[in-house]
Amino acid sequence: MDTHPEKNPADAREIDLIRRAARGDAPAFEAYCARIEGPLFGYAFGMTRSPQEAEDIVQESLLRLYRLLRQGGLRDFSSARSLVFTTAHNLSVDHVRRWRRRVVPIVERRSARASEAAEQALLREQVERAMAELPESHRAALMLREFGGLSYEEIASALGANRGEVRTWIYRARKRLAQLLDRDGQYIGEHGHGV
Amino acid sequence: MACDYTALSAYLDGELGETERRRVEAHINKCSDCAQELQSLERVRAMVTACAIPSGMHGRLMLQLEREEHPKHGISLRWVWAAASAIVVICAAYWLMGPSGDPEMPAVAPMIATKPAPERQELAQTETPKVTPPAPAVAEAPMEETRLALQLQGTIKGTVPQAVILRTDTGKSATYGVGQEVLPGLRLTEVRDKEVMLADAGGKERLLNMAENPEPEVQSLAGLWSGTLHQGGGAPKEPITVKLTDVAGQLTMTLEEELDKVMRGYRSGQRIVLASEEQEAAISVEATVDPTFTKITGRATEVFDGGGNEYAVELTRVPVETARELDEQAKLDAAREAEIEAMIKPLKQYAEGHEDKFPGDLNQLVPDLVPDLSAYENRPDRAVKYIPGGMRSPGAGLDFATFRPDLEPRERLIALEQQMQALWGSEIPLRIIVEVAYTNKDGSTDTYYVTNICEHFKRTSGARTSASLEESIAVDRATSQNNLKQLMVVTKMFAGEEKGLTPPGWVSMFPEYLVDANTCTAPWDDVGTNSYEILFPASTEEELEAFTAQLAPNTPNFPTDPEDPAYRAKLQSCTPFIIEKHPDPRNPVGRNVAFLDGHVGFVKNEAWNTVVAPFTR
Repeated sequence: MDTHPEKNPADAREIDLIRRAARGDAPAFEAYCARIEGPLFGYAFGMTRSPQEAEDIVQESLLRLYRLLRQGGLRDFSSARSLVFTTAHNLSVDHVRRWRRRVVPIVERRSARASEAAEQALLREQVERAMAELPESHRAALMLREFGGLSYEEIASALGANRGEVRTWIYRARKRLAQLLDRDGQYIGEHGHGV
Repeated sequence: MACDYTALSAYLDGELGETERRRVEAHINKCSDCAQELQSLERVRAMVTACAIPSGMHGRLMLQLEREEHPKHGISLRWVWAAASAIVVICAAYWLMGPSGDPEMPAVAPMIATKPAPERQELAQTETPKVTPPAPAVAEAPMEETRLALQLQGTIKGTVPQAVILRTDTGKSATYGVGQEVLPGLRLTEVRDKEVMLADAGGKERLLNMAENPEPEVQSLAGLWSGTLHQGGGAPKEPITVKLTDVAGQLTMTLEEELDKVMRGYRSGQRIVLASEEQEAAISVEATVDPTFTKITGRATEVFDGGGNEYAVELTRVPVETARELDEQAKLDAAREAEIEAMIKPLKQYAEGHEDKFPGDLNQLVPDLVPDLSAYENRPDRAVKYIPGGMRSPGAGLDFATFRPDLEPRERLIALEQQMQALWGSEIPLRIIVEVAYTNKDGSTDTYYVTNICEHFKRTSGARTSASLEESIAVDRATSQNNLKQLMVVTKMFAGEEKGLTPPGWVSMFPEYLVDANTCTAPWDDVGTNSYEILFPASTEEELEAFTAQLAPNTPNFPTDPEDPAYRAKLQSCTPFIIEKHPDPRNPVGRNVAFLDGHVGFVKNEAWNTVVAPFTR
């Protein structure tokens, strides 16, 4: 059962790239990386709050996928996306656990990509600031959904939770963000909308 | 329908079934609250997705992949990866031991190594918050170290949460207040919303957290698992035993009896993903564990340079009792081997200084090489027999890595084999110099032989004394099949390191690859006999396959498309590679044959001419 209206067209192309990559087609894998690394980076960055660490996680996740592909270890090509995000999640969790006590306050962090349009960078800054306030499980679930395009089932499997929990977490994450951000995406913090 | 906001969110994600989706749509039209909520959720969603970050880092990534594809350039990536995985393990260990934790993350709770605490049991019954700490636990007795897991089940509601309900992995729940000792040496220091801090005797802090919903039982995959590998169809199920370690979901798997093959991976929920890191004979496993953590089922994929095998894997947890027995046996084996090692070393040293002759009498070792002969003494559980007059076999010290480094691998290998054959003939000149018979608790005896090529090997005797001839033949056939499998493993290892080159014979494999001389001898042959023959010495696997491909069209149901992965798998599975030179004389109806894909089969005489004979060129 696939209930993702917007997921299918992308999937067909991705699966095709993965299939070719598994046969040793390097440009296909490169194209696949180009497609997926933005969301993957977003996810890893959201989890670790460190651009360097996020880049390493993206690399390592894609590298592991590549190795698995070349070894013929991936049976179901449509699971590549889920696998690579799950790997990124596990690597991120490891990182977060190690660095928990040293998380840099979000306001001191500079934008990850200086060359972006200022407006979008600003929005990102605001959204990230709000996201940083979410409990980790909520944040992970939401980002796996929004950046990774993973189904609830896949998210549940990545996080070791059940589908019902994932559904609740994603809702609560959105609800909390709605409280923390105003209509224009400005961070208004705790006192925006009272509940 | 009542307002269900989580359904609205799931609706946005297209995660509702047909019925629920219709119901939500109908509801939104009637309920302005929900319509507004949906709008708000949609707005947030748009903001978040707008934050997806484009990036141009794939240039860097591809560079690294290129290096991995051609590992001969630059540093060997195998070492880099070995180091990298070591770091992962260290980091995971740090998390366990260190002052860290992570609220709400749905992962296993920290496992805390400590001593068992039987006196906890009365605490487990306690229903109300306890303020006075229990008597300090007696932890002085030299007890075996075990692991106890704690799970935070709930915080006691109040203005300030001061007490929590904790559950240990024994399944007992109890309520603890701040300051109380939760486990020996581990004190509760702080209670927060849904997480608690614990401090050990050294003042190190640990954080224990609770997911929003009660977590499943704290489970670990660590331990011994046994089961089968099955290739499907009529193929036999191969028994397999693995040892798993599980550090917060980071797994390592060691295949027992499969040399040093280690796989690493992780567990996520009930899914398990593992892969070996070696370039040769890459194995990956995708499996799931059942909710009770007692059964693992899935698939294992084995790849040899493009071709490969796929197996169904079924593993069940080895009961603790059995695991303990096996563990004891392993410790016993290691202790015995260390003893024997200590016996061999002075003998080797003596031979090196005396033109390869071993001493005529053990007393000649004293005092230059050993202070006394206690290492060789008989004990109630051990009988040592030294057989004087032996010589270190010429060529025993030669090995492939250092022999004629001026030659290319293939030439070097052939030259080494010729050298060994010139020294030894076609047989391995096994002569026993020390025999150590250990008496087991059950009265059986394990006898270890040390030979003149200075390797020791084990032969368990006594098992066959009561067997009938028929049983004995069956046991011997299985033993010989095992030998063939081990020889295949050695061959694959060798081929992996030498560009697919297959060894020209067994004698040059000593002792670097093949440490157990017994593997070369079928149970019905005399000690030292070279019972197995490689059909294609010193050629590459590609050449073998090309040769088989010429014969393929004569085989019914053979895949025709060379691009088809099944084609190569099929080629490998019908290329006989190592054969028994002679059948079991007590029952000469056929011979065991190892095929290139690693499987071993018994080929009856009737089938020999079609299955094996074409390959004996």
